[in-house]
Amino acid sequence: MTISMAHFPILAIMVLFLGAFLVALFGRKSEVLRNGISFLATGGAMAFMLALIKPVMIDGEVITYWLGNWAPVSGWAIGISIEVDALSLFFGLVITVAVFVSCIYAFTYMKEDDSLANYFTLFLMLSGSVLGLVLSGDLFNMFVMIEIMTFTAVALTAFRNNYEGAIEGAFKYLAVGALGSTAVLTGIAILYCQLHTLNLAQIAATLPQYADSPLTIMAFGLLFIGFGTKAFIFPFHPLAADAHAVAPASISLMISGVLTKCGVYGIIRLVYVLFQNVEVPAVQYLVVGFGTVSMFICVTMAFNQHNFKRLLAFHSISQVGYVIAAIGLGTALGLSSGLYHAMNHTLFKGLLFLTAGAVQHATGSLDLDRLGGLAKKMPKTCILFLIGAASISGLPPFNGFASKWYIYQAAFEKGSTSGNFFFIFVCVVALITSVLTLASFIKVAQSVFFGQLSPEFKDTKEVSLAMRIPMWILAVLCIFTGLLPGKVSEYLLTPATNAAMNAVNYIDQMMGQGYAVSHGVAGSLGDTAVTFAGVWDPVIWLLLLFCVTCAVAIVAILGSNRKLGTREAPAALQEPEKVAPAEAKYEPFFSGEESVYSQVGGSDLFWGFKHNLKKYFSFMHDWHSGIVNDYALYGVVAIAFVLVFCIAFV
Amino acid sequence: MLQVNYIGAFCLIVLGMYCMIAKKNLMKTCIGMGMMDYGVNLLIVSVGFHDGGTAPIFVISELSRASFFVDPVPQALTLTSIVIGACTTAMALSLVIMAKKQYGTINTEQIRRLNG
Amino acid sequence: MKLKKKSIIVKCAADLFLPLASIFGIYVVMHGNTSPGGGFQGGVLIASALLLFFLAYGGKKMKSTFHEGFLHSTESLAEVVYIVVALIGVFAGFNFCLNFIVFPQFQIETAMVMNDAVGYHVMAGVICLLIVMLTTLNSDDEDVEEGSDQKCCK
Repeated sequence: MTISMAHFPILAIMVLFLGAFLVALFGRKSEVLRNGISFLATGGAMAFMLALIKPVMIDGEVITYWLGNWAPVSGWAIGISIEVDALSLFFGLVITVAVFVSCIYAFTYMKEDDSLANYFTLFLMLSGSVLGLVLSGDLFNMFVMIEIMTFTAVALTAFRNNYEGAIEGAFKYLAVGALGSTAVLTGIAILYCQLHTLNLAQIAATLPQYADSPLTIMAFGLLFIGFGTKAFIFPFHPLAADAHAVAPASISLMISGVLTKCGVYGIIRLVYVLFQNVEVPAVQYLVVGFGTVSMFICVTMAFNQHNFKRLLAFHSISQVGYVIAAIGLGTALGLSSGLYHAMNHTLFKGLLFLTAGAVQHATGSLDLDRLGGLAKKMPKTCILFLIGAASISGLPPFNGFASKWYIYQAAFEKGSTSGNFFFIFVCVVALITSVLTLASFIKVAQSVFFGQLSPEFKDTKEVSLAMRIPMWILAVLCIFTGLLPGKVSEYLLTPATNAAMNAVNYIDQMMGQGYAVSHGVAGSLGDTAVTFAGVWDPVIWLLLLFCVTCAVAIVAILGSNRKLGTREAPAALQEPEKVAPAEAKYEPFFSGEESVYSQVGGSDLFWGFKHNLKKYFSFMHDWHSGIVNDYALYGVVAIAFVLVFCIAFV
Repeated sequence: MLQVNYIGAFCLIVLGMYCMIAKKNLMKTCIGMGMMDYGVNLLIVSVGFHDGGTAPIFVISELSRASFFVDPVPQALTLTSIVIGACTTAMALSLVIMAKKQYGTINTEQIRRLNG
Repeated sequence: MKLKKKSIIVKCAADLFLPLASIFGIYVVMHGNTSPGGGFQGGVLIASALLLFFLAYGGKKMKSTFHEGFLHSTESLAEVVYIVVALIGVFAGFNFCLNFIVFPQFQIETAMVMNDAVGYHVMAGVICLLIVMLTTLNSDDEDVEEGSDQKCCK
């Protein structure tokens, strides 16, 4: 009774759904059973995905599987299929690791909530549907999985319904998400009308002969904006901000790390495999344009925020903007760097959201204007936060630097080979966004961890080890993927990029050899060889950073007249270590009474920058009005714009 | 040839979007979401229709070359879509009930504590 | 203007139609693999019997008749049965969701077992949902006892 490896994908999905219903059956009576079943389900799914690395990524096979043994009849696909190639397995690995970490974190973080059986049921259904989405080979199956994903995410966002604004955030997510789902379903209906099939491989094979008809182009526009809604691109970003601010931290990891990646996966399948029109310049402008606008607007919005998790949510969408801009470039280096940044984003954003959850668990507050000085009470969480902040800003030995460098290189090369100024402009905007991200995280670090401790948080304690272990897993993965970009590229990125750009192989594996050529599908898109420019080695940069830090520490210690390691100094005398340059301005205003609590809070930093751009910031503040009708209006305008653009130019 | 059902489907979708944009009551937003779903369902069923075809139910021994059915695949898609629409409506209505309990009102201009 | 008293006409009509609605729903579920219908449609039809009951007898009686806790626990059991039946084929070497119990002359196959499981799950789920929705905001509404039917509705 051996189970061949072809059954592993469906077993991975079903083990999560089965775990969800077993938790619903047994979870109410016993906490041990509930935690045990969840742990086994998520661990089992991760084990199945890891076992598939050897055949799919290294040997290059593609696993094809027809549900119910309904094989194609005379060249026409009649069943639902599952097709796992390297691109699907790449996303599957990222998803199962994130799900596993979130599950372990939730055991301790959610301890004080009740009806936890419902939480774990919904969480396992969310994980199962997301994994089903990336492994599916059938378009309507993807739609059903998107819907399950949306419902469970909305229900989990509203889980702590005694928080202020939880119900409101969940309703906005549902209402505007319904717009996106309707767009996807209309696109699928129009595509079925034209092609009479729902199988991804068969659509990819029969689409080229209809490539110019307006119906197909309309379907492309609708599917693009529908998947973009799930990835929270530009006009749909207020939903993410509202949902992240009220969701529990382990669910924020899922929404920002996993659900957005499903939208990105949908866009990659759409543009590279189904329609294969990523070489058309208008499509490149569309995708890269949406990515760049998301990137820039969200990072500027982050300066105005007072809630820790809402600020992290805006940064999350800005990084997803990077990924979409990189994917839209159409070259192998662009796709490869986009995938690398997608994986890194799940890791470092997950780490940042988990530290925010730890701060919330320990102090009960997420308000940047009231927190401060927590580094003394929670030093280990502070270190983890600094690792995450350094990764997202793109500082050298961490993974953010590697993937952002590749994105800059890809955009610049695309600009220089095509002679088009637009892509150089995108590269410049990406660099500016990176600098603004660093500024924003200096602000957060100062207002949450450094500075003076407010008297109301005097007796906060460090969070327990059970909550720190998932954070350390993510931090270690951040460091490893940053130190070994060559290995990551060889084992994970290059097979995934080759699989995405080689649609002929995808079709032939599913429907039989020679099917693609007989329908006139062209060969693989472009050059799949990827070479990385620049002479740099992360280990050397790590040594350089270490030497510079030692030098700065020696100078600081010799220069001050404090003894190292005193713990009796009162909180008011401690000076903030990482001082923003604006600190010196405030000293004349403090009268020198050291017992006065005078924390430079989150809203006080960068006040000059905010004051000069007052018009822009107040316009943006009014534009994110919080009314669900306005957000629906922005969504409908985006759908209309994409449709008009596609029909006019593509 | 005037295809009334296609025109009706797109009108329903657009009317549903209008309801979501212009009406300030949360219940009307839910109705708008539901109308969008029904419009898309009508579109999917219309796609599968062939003139003169009968319902695709048969016993395998009575099947012959001359039997002409409408396409059964869009009917399966529509069933699934109706189920999903029912779940969306149920979840939206539950959230509206909880919002009424918490905020005391279901006017969208007063339920806006998360903004900026 | 609230209807404070349940009139006797509604009660008699509900008593007459409740068994018909339930039997029709069960018929649609069981014949799901050979005629239009199936799990979801039949499940919702059976659950609509609950609405008739609510109109006739009121919220308190509805809650005491339909045991919400029992339904909630058994609906997950039905879903587990569905997944296990679908997975049995995998362990025997076939693909997922294969029809492996086939008696063509009785028209019974695996699809019928799965239909019944889905039908029970949908019925239980919709009943729990309706009970929660109908009793959340109206919990302060008192149902007048059905003893005296000389008073007319206000």
